Amino acid sequence: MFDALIQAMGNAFTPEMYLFWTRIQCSAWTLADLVIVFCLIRLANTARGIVKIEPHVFSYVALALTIPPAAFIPFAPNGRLILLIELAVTIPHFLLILYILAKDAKTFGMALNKLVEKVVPP
Amino acid sequence: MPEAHAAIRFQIVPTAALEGVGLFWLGAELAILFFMLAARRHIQSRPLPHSFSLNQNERRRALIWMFCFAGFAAAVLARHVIHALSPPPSDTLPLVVHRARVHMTVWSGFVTGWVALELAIVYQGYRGYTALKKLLATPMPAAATAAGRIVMLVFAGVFLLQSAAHAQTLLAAAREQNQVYYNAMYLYLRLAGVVWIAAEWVAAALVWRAYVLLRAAAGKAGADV
Repeated sequence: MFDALIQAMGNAFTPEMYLFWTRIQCSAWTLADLVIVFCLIRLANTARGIVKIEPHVFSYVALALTIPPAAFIPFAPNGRLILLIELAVTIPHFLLILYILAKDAKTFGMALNKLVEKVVPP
Repeated sequence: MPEAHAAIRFQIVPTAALEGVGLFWLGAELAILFFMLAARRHIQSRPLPHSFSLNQNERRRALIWMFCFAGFAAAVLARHVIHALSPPPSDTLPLVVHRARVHMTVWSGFVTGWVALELAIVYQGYRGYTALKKLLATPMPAAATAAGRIVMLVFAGVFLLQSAAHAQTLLAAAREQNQVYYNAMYLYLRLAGVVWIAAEWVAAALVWRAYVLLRAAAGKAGADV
């Protein structure tokens, strides 16, 4: 039964369709990545504001630098170029996420503590 | 023959580099999952600790995860070193085909791992977000919590079914050099992509909602943000 399913899948899907859907899917998840990193920087800056620390600026610049290559993904002519753009976009995104989590984990903790002291009555 | 061997060696470098990048993505996802687990534990601690720090169990867990991941990465990449050092075969074509097939299997495994880790991150993120909401303001309605669990179960179910079909595809592709099986494997990668995109957008919505929640709480507390 599985073999028949695989045969049907393989006959219905071609390398050209793979490239077509890769462009669309890659654009969709890269856009989600941009939203995630942007919101994470906003979240970190809110926590930094609560504990009176300078907000992230470089992280916004680094994120902005990934937007032009990301915008080219739907027009990339082949899979190899899509992969190279993905490397140029997602590696900085992952590094930014890890940088913010490592740098601001304590800031989040302090901000929460300060908020709970004020929001929740003792 | 020296030219053929040089060509094989040349193919080893980009393939190893690509798998290295795949391992970086896996490692980064593992690190994010680790942070999510620690953050959730912190938010759920009562009384709330004054500052965030890893406890003894988390430090031990971090070491175990790093050790296991380093071992896995070394095992994946070691075969490229062995290939580079091995003597040239008399017939290079079957060797190249075999290595391409192994690489595709490894890459499909990476895709499966990324999606599984992303689902785990989203699940932990969702639980952390509900704990944060409970800590800062009003508890999340039970119906919403149940809905979140159902959505995650559906994603996980679809992904497991895909992976089961995928395992069959891999076996079939290994048995027979047939384009149809490769097409089926490509389809698996794109179906995994659907689960991946859904999980990514759920994660984006969660981070956005956490930001709105923190900002609202800061406004309520009169913090200057």
